[in-house]
Amino acid sequence: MNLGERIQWISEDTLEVQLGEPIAKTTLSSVEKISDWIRSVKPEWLIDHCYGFGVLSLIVRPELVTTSLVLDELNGVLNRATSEFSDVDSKFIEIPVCYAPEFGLDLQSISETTQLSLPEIIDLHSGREYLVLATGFVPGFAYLGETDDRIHLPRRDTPRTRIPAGSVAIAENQTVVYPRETPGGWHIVGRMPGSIVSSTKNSIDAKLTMGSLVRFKPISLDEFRIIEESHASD
Amino acid sequence: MLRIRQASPMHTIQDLGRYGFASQGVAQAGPMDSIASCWANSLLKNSVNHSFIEIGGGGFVAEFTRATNFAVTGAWGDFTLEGERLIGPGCYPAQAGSVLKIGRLNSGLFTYLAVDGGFDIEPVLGSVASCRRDFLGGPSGSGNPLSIGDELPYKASQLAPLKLIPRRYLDSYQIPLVCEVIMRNSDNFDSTATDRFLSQSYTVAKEQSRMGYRLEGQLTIETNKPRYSVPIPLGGIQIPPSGQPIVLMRDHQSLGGYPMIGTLTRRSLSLLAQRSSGKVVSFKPVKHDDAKAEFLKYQEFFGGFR
Repeated sequence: MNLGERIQWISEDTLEVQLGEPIAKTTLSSVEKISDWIRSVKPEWLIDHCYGFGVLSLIVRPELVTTSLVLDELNGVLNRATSEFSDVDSKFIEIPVCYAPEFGLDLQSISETTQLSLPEIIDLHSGREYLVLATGFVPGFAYLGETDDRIHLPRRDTPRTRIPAGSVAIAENQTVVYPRETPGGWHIVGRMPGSIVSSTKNSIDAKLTMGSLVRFKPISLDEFRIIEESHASD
Repeated sequence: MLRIRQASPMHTIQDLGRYGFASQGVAQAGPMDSIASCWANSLLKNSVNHSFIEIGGGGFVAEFTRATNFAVTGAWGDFTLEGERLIGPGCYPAQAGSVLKIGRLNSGLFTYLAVDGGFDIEPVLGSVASCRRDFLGGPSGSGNPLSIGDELPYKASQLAPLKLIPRRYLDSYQIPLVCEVIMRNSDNFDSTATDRFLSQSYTVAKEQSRMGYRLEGQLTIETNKPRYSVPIPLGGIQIPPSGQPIVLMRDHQSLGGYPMIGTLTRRSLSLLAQRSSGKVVSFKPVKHDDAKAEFLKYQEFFGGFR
């Protein structure tokens, strides 16, 4: 794996690197290696970084680096056989989801568009493992994919002004969990109890990070309430 | 303490921003006009990352309960200390009990207020910068703007004589602005689109916020819509389907799906931030090497810059 010439300055202090096809497994494994490396090594020239769908952006100290120095560093990281910093145990995550109509606000309209029954939609959504394709937009937000192509839908024509925190939604070939109440144009299929992200004064602890493997587990409304209450009393 | 007597939702605590969390979707925040904010801190011999107040749109009144020197820079208008007019961007001594009024603005949008040693506020994720979208920063730590009755602690200090920013360093916020843009290699724009972007002038639209400024031009720019969202740099210029540019400001989201034609230099971004709706803006390309040289000059001049 070699990044070659796919690097450009996009501002005085920001470099952009094309890592590969947006949702290819090789790209995701490159991102995982690079972000593990950044987390543990904390290169002196690097101020911040962000990844989205095949593109890595690096805010750097421009007086300390050149494009070729950064490429050499990244190629060195990518050419290691596996990520030496990776923590395999934390990779698999199961998220309970209640697909009851009071939470799955768009299940009915999805059913009308796709001609699938509600149980079929739920089976398709919860019946496979998803990879984290990108994180960001707001803290805790992760793009998961790919969904079964029978439930691929464009985003809603008119975005909702408020999507409740914990809502699980689909659009295009992806699915997401809304970490907090925000506007959004995705189709809502259910809700998870508890919270997908927590933070302290010094850190953000997001359940879903690059490299996570995710499965949604359908739960009943009663189970939802029990889990929700146990979180509230933590 | 600085006791806030009048405030608006556009009055916030900032520093140079929050770094290290972009990959988790946290906005960098920080000053809309970092040149003016760095002036405020450097006049006081503070580090440029000390906390300060960003006062958007004027209409701010506060009392210094302890003696300190304070600096006021950026947007200017009818400003007084104990009823006496402040004569220009600079740093001034304030006796204990004196009242500062940042009244109506006649030039620019964002005024910066710093005190000796900065305000004593607990950082969240390494910064005090307020970001409402992320519920982070500011006096409470949860991103709220300043409100009446807030008390911001600072240390008392020895009064020093008034010092103004030399005239040669002051920028006009009124004249048409030619923004320097680091153009982007992109398949999303053909040469017609690029020519159109660089040859026409734009006006700043009413939709302006700490997240982004919309611009309006006579001719729209056509693009291909990319399928996936990618990281957005500070100052990035997006072209949405309307064909009218959006410049991404300090509180911008980390990822975005509209194609980007280029990025403003940090100096141009500061100067654009001070332009209210209706002001005229155009673009000219600049090489990365030249933009970087200017950026490093600012870093050296202020002892830091972002």
